[in-house]
Amino acid sequence: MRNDDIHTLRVAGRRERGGSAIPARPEQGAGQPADLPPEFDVWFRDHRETVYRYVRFRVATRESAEDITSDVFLKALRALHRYDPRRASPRTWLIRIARNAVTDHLRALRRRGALHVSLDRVPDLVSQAPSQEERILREEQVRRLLNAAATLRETDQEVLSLRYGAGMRNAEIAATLKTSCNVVAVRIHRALGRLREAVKATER
Amino acid sequence: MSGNRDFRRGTPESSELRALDRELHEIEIEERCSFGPELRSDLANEYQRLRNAGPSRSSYRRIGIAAGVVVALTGSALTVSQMRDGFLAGLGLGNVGEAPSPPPPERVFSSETPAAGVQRETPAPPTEFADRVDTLAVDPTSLSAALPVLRNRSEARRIVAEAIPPRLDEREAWGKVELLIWVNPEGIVELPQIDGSSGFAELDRAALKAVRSFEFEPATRLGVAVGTWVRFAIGFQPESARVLLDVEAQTMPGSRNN
Repeated sequence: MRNDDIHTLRVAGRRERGGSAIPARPEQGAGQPADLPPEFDVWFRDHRETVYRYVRFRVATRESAEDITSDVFLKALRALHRYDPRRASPRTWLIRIARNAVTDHLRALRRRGALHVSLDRVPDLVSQAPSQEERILREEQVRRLLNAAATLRETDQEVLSLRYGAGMRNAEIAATLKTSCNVVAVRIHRALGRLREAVKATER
Repeated sequence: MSGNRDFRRGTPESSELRALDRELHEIEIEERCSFGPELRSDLANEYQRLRNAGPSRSSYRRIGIAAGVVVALTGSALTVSQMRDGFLAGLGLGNVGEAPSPPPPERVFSSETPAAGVQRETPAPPTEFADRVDTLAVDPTSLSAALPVLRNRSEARRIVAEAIPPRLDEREAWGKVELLIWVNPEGIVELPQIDGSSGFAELDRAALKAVRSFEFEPATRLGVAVGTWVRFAIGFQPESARVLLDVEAQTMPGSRNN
């Protein structure tokens, strides 16, 4: 397997979440030629991983996640002149575009009757656990969890993806969904409860 | 993590949810290594394309609105070109040639050059579509109108090359097929028809087949995409196994704009 093909999902220790905390990759450093608008270049560097993780949490394959993420940034670039910083932060704006793109993608899949793609068939699920045995065990846990999450209603999947995929805080999720922090907290709590039931159901 | 505060402590349910919360947080997602650079390259290309395309549609819309105000204030006695010149002069631009209108379609090859001084007449659209033309056609002399532009010329060449009848050169069957097509507001080709035959039915059929797959940037009027008739020529010339494509995007002004 080529290094490029390796994983998009893996089990690892906790890491700091949040757009500003994501370190820039070396290939996106200051040495890049100015072939993008400067502010957009910063957004791309700071929020690409957030968008990708959110999308990857919601769709079944890495390829779909890459296609949708590309689509999100292309749409954002074309609509850059319409961005209003008074209405949303760049991260919130990009995630809103991503939400619409994911919705369109899922709708298209639904039309084709191919919405429920089991994550068991996804080959990019690996783990960095220390031992082989533990790695397999934890990968199985992740599969079980994400397969169960895929059975939840779309609103639950969305709020869980924003929280655990994009790593957004409740206030950011509230801004994205245009609701209050309390509502977000309740929705996450209920979604987790339903996810717990779904996981139990898969274990029976 | 702030999320742990969201669960009521001390109940079996809360401990289960906390464990689930922790488990979900421990799922780490990473991209394919080359995805970021690839996407950035695509974005840079797209940005270059947008820059080369000139002012955005919203710019045309603003200019169109300004032109509309001028039309309303100056009355209908002036011709379009006089109004355009006056408007640009008022803006201090002076030269009409500097107006922010999109560039005309690039001419790659012409197998037929009109004689000097001969004004080539624009053929009238088919009578059965006269109503559509009357209401939707773009007047190319209008300040805020943009002509349709072929989106991907290399792709168009590939399509034509694939449609070309086999062993064309051996039969010395080549020429130029003139087509009349309706480019709808989405830039999709509709109602293609032969406007000038090449003299070879196979070539005509190949051109008709190829042109259906072409994609255009639609014409715009006052910044809004509109459908329009376009005269379009495809030249088939076997020359070192290459097929040259002659593009003559040309609008068919409707009677309302004349």
